Order: sequence, then structure tokens, then C-alpha cells
Amino acid sequence: MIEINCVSKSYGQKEVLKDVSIAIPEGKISAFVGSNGAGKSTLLSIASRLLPASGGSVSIDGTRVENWNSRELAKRLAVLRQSNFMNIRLTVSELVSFGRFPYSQGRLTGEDKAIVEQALEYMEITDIRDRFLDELSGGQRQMAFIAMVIAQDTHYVFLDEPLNNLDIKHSVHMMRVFRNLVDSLGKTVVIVIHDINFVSCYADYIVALRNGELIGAGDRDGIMTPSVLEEIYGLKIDIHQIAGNDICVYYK
Amino acid sequence: MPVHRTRRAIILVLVCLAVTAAYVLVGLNERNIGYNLPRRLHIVVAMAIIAVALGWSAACFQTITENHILTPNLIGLDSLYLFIQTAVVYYLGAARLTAMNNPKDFLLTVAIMVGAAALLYKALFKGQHGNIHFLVLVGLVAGQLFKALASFMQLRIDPNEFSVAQGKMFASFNNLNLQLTGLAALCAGGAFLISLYDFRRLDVLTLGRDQAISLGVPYTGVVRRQLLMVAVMVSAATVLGGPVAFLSILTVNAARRYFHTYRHIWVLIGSAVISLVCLLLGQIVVERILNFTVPSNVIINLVGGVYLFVLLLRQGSRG
Repeated sequence: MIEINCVSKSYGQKEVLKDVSIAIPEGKISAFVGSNGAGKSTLLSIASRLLPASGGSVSIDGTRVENWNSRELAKRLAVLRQSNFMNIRLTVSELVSFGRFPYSQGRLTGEDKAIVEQALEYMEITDIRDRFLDELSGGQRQMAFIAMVIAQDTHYVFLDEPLNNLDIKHSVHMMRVFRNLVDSLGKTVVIVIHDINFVSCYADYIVALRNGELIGAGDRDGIMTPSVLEEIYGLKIDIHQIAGNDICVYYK
Repeated sequence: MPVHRTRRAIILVLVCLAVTAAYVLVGLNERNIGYNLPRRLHIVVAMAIIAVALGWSAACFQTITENHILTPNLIGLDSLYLFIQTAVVYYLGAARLTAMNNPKDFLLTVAIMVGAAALLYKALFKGQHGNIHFLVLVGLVAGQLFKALASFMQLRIDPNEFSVAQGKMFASFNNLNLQLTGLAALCAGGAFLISLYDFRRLDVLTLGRDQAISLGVPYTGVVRRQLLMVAVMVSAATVLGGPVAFLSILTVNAARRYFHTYRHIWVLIGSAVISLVCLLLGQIVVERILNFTVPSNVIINLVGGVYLFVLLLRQGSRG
């Protein structure tokens, strides 16, 4: 269980998060939504210990995040940020092997290798395992990074805009993988995401932010209403039932 | 295509041994062996200390800053060293500097340099901008300040005294002192061992800060420890041989290319051995071909500068 209590974050005078309190539900896909600059990524970074909060606290499984041993926490919570620029040349399987670092500290055991293999298969990238990351398309590279997170085998998985730069096919594949992580492996997945229709079709729980303030957190059905969406995005959004899904229409 | 790293490492070590032999053995005869052999072996040992310290510290520094064209001398340690040497001549006279070959002064110089670096780190990690690039920037500015102060004092020094100070400003292995070499080995070696403890974590740091934290690397602790050890290694190497830190930009990148890997253990072996080869070749050129008319860092900087250009152009063309 991850609890965020009265978390705020400011840079100098600028307050980017104001007194946000939420509990992230177990065994679900939670989506952080909001406009650009709403504080979604900041909240995700604080909740996943990448960024210290200016005020408030985050506790993971009942222990405050700063009191966790970093190696133990890495077996419990993995996070992937959006910028994956690297100035070193790595192959896909080398990258995925890094996912085992919290367990073996760089000396891969037979078990680690088997898990890396499974992760490659899970993301369907075994055929590009020996290719260098900088030779891959954005979608393939993103798949490789997700495979690393899967190899890390943590209960909590935090992803900042995992659909960024992905085409439709890769996006759907990615969301199915997250659904699967939750439904078959019982993991808790937290994502920052812009495409509200993917949220509608895949997320269980939605956390809505605007200008650094929490304006709503609840089950999908409670948030996916025209009035709440208008408050989140500042835009009139119609919701239509199409093939059993709530689809937002806001393009014109 | 797989790269046979062990085979490549053996080739490299053999080249290094050949160059070492060429330096130590060529021109030895019965008459000069008693003088030349110990002197040359001493130079080789001092160079090996510098090669390992600089090679490893640059590899760590580049990983921490996530930039492959930086060297630790960017945080101004070289300039601080020049400043200290010049200040001693300016205030205490050249005679004092010439006498500064005792362990106490060596340790004091190293301590001042490491202390300054530690102060810089402390100020930065406390503040809002706990950011590595900001640290490099401040170090750069501080380095320029020390350099400017040093050249100001140099202008006011008596020309005769200046020539003594100048001797300390260039890398030189011609008046080593056995005691100092031992001390440098102790300082740099200790820092090296502490730093080496993190080598697998440094591998993970190549993925960047966020990913390293996600994979359980205690980021702040590792970065602080590494930066401090880098400062100790660079300081000890600089006080021992003069400012040659620029060399490491060449050797670390050459090592990465040679072994085709990001793994620090290979980069360390490669850059240390390549550094030693470069230093020895520089020394051979200076001693045997130019008859000591040109200090070896001129040659090293010439070669290093050209290589840096090639690196920059390559990075540019990759976009």
C-alpha cells in the first residue's frame, strides 16, 4: 500500500504540488491525469522516491520512503521516467539484465538469466535481443525499457507517460501488458498518461490533478463524467458508449 | 560480432610492457645502469600511479556527470594546484617551493585541494540546485578564478623566481622524490580502493540518475563518495606529476571504444594501461628525442586535443 500524505513540492516560489493526499489502491491500474503542468509527473516522481517532497510524506507498505533501504525498495517498487536518453551503447538484453541488479548486484545467477529471458518473451522482443538500443525505433526501445522493469519483478510499477512516441499498435500492446501485470500477476501499476480514452478503456482508478491540486481521485466510473473531465481539462468533453467502452469525443 | 575482451586486454598489456621495456632498457649500459635503472623504474612507478588514478577518476566522473567529454579537471583542481604553487612562490619565494618536496607539504597541498573540492560539493548538495551540471559549472568558474589569480601573481613575480614556479606548472617526471611517490601511492591507492567498491553501481549509473535509483543504487551516497575519491585521486596525481588530467579524456574514451563496453572494470583496465602507454611515449619523446626541451604535457595536450576534436565531431555528426 502506498500512501501519499499532504505532499507538496515547490521550486523557489513556485508551488507545483499543493497538499496532495491519496492512497494508491492495490492490484489496480491507477492513472494520473491532468493538463500539462498539472503536477502529474512530479507526483509520480515523489511517490516513487525519485524526488524528495518539500512537505508531507510518502509511505510504502507502512514505512516512510526515506527510511527504506534502497536495495530492498528496488525489489518492491520500480519506476520508469519518460526520457531514456543514454550516451552509452547497450544491447536490449544488456539493458533488460539491469533489471536484476537489486537482486544480484550485477552478478547474474542462472535464475536471473531465466527471468530476463521471460521478460524478453513477455514483451515479444526476443528477436531484437542483441541489437543496440540506438538502432531501434522509439517503440521497440520503449518495449525494451518496459522489459527491464518487468525483469525487476516489483510489486509496484510506476511509469511516466509510457505511451509517449508510440504508434497505435505499440500503445495497445503496452496497455494490454499493464492490464496483464495487474490481472494475472497481481501487481499495482501507476501511470501518467495523456490519452484519456486509453485511461477510460484500461484504468481502474483515476487521480486527477489541476495546477498542482488534487481535484478528484476515485474509481474510473466516478471520474469519467463530462462534468469532472471538464474540470480536469478545461474543455467540454462528450462521452459516448462505443462497443461497451466510454469514449471521449473532444476533437472538434 | 563478439569482442574478445580478455584477448584485447592481453594485447594492450603486452604493448604496455613493450613500451615500458623500451623506456627502461634502451640506452642502458654498464656505466649508467646504476643511475638510470632506479631512476627510470621510479618514473614508471610514478606514471603507473598517475595512470590508474586519472584513468579511473575520469571514468567515474564521466559516469556521474553523464557526459563523456568531461574530465575531473573541469572542477578546477588543476587551476587550484597552479594557484597554490604560484602563491607559495609569490609569498614565500622560490627557494621555499624548491624545498617543498617533503611529505608534509605534499600532504598539505593534497589536503587543500581535496578540502576545496569537498567544500564545493557540500555547498552544492545542501542548496536547492543539488545538480551535477551546476557543480561542474561552478567548478569551471572557480577554476578560471584560480587561474586568473595565479597569472596575476605570476606577472608580479621576479622573472628568476617565475622560472621555478613554471617548472611546477607542467607535468614533469624528472625530479621525482621517492618519499612523495610512496605517499601519492598511498593516497591515490586508498581512494582508488574505496572508489572501486562501487564499480558495479557505477555500471548502473550509466543508465542515468532516475533509473539507477529505481534499481536500488543509493544515488546521493554513491555520488558523494565517488566525487570525493575523484578529488583525492586527481589531487594526488597532480601534485605528484603536475597537471596532466586532460590526458584522461582521451584514454577513457579510447578504452570504451577498444573494449566496446560501458562496464567500468574494463574501462578502468583500458584507460589505466592506455594512459601509462601515453605517458611513457611522451616521456620517451621528451627525454630521448627532444632532449628535455619541451615539457611532456605539451605533447600530451597536442595529441589529446586532436582526439577531443575527433570525439566532438563524431558526436556532432551522430546528432
